[in-house]
Amino acid sequence: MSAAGTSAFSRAAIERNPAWVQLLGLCPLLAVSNSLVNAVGLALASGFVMLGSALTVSALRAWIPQLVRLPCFVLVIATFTTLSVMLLEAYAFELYLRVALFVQIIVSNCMILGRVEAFASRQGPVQAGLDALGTAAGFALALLALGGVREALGQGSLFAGMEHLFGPAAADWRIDLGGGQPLLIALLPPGAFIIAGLLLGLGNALRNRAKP
Amino acid sequence: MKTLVSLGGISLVCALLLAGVQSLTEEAIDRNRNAQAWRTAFELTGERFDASGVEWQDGRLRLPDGGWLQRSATPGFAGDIHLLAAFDEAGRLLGARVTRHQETPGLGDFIDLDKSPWMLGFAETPPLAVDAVTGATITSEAIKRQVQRMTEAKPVEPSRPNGQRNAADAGESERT
Repeated sequence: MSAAGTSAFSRAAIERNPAWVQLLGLCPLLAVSNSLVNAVGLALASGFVMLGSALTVSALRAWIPQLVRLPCFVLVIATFTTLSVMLLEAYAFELYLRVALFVQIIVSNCMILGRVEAFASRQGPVQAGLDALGTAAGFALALLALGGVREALGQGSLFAGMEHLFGPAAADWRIDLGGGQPLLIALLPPGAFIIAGLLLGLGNALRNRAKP
Repeated sequence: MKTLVSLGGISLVCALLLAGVQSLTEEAIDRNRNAQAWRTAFELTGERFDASGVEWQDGRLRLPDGGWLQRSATPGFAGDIHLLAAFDEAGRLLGARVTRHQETPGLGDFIDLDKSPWMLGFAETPPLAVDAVTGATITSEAIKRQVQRMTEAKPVEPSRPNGQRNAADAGESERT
């Protein structure tokens, strides 16, 4: 990867992290992040939609009329969302049963529409692909952080249920953290807001320290 | 004109992608859905039976013990809710489950047995007497009415030799 490529990727993933910096795509982020396995599932599906839409829009950008660009982008994103639902239902059925509803609403994830509109529709496929990968990685990072904290607090475990995603061998990945009574609120929607807020604060504090 | 052509072209690209992946995944999806329907059926009837060679007819499946499974769909709050109900040989409802739905996450969660025991109510109470859930009236009412309809639709008795039934059971049910 060239230096420019690396920076396009890391800018999209860290400096402009879709969830923690731009606060985009929070609805699926908060809804699905109650365990690591759900977080990984949604991160993969979102990444697939993000990358597929960005590459397609970038490749077709010369043919997309300026006036109707938004319907075109939404059409492409909806197509890739539907594809990811079909693939999940065919090859990861258990996970499909848990996250399908949220995968379907990826179509309205403003993070994806935003990147496609602002970036992929004006750049070549390589740049668009790097930016999409970076955005997807940033979103995955946010999902995993939130999912990990919520699962650890709420269930006292990490990586539980990974066999639904990676096959029977992954059943051993589960780590029990022990400890006392799990904190149920971490699994419930209010807990998602509280923990997301704390993580956001932590991120801001780290950034402020980095640039004195 | 140019706008129309571009829109058409982009729609075509999307349609081709969808059709391609659909034909690739169709078989696996069918297999998964069937397997899930069987798991639900075993759960409802409490027994395992040989699933090979039996066929659904008009959404109904005769079980070897004289009962039957009925599947159907009804419009919910968002898209169809697919239901599976099990009846014993006397036509009593053993229970019902939602097999597929797209109801609102959170509010509509109660129809999944994983998340709420609500569906178990149909095993105990007449369908229309099951309590609706606040905030999800349309979802609850749709399921209640559809289960009621399935209960009312008695099966056309097929020409099934009576001798197959357990003798004691047969005497019992004929007296009632």
